[in-house]
Amino acid sequence: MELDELKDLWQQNTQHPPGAELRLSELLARKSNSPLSTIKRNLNWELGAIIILYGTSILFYFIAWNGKLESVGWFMLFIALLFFVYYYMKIRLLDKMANPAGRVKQTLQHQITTLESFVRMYFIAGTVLIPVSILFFARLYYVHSRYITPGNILFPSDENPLWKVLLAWTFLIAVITYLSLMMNKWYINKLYSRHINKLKSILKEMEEE
Amino acid sequence: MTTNDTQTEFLQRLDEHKGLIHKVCHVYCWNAKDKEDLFQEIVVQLWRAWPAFRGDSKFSTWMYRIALNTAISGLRRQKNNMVFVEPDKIPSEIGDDSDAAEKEEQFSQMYEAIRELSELERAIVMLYLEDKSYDEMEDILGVNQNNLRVKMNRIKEKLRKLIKMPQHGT
Repeated sequence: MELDELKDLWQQNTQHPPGAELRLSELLARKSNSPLSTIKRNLNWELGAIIILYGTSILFYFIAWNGKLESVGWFMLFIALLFFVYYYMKIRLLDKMANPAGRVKQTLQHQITTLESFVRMYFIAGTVLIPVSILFFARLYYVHSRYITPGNILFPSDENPLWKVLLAWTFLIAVITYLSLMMNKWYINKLYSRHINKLKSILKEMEEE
Repeated sequence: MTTNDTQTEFLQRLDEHKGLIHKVCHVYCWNAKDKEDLFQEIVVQLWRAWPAFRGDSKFSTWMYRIALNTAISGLRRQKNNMVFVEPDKIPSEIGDDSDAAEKEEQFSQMYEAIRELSELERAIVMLYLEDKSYDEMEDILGVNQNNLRVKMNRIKEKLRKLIKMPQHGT
């Protein structure tokens, strides 16, 4: 029997899987479980957590110790603002990805491009935050502790000329940034790379003659 | 038009074509839970896209695009603990008892074989079995017709081997 001969059987097969008897209107009321929706929901949870945790911490640093550590509050406010920009860009990207009514090939191309931009943004934001935070807290430490840590290689003194200090800082930042970069890579790979590769392989198959 | 009217119209049209979604679920999922999840996801995606449906293409074409996009590129992961499900039965009204059993066997073999194909191949063979023209298939998949014909020939060859269907004249 040839495939063509099975067409009739195929077209007449209207068996429904278990659970299909659910009313369609009930299905509409349920939330989407697509990975895209899950990413969006996680992002909103992240936003909620940032508002609560950062909000409380910022207030704390502005009020506690008579505001002596308010610079930490300002720094956290700056990071929170960066997060809002990052959140907005991510949501826009995710909205751009959600266009399932296009042709399958175009949708795949679009999803790959957008997902790669999303991952790049995630990677850059996660990596840049580390040296920025180190430098900020180093400055803070310097302002508040320079008199109680004489001879510390991380701060200039008679024993430690500026070039030595700069070298030490460069080394420290490079090591920590490298470690965080590796961790980010591993995490992104775990979250998205397998899927992006899968989409790419389907697209490649579509383009092959 | 009120939201309720919109929803009613959508549900009516969906109900007329829901067999199409079930077939996509059968082809892309192995166990009942996955099928149910995919069915729900496709319905949700259709509903979300419904306000933008202008009727530029046929309703079934539009539905196929969304259903296949959701199944293929919807970042779905098959559960590792796959459960073998009974092959789909053919409608009882087809043929008498003796050849119904034979056809049922062929039909279940076909489903099993289709599941051995790649995601794209499954989409192509499904549209082919639905008797879609190459023009419509191009409109749904975005792959040009010549390429689709080449792929279809390869798929037929693959399925022949998988189902061990005797070729005509042999």
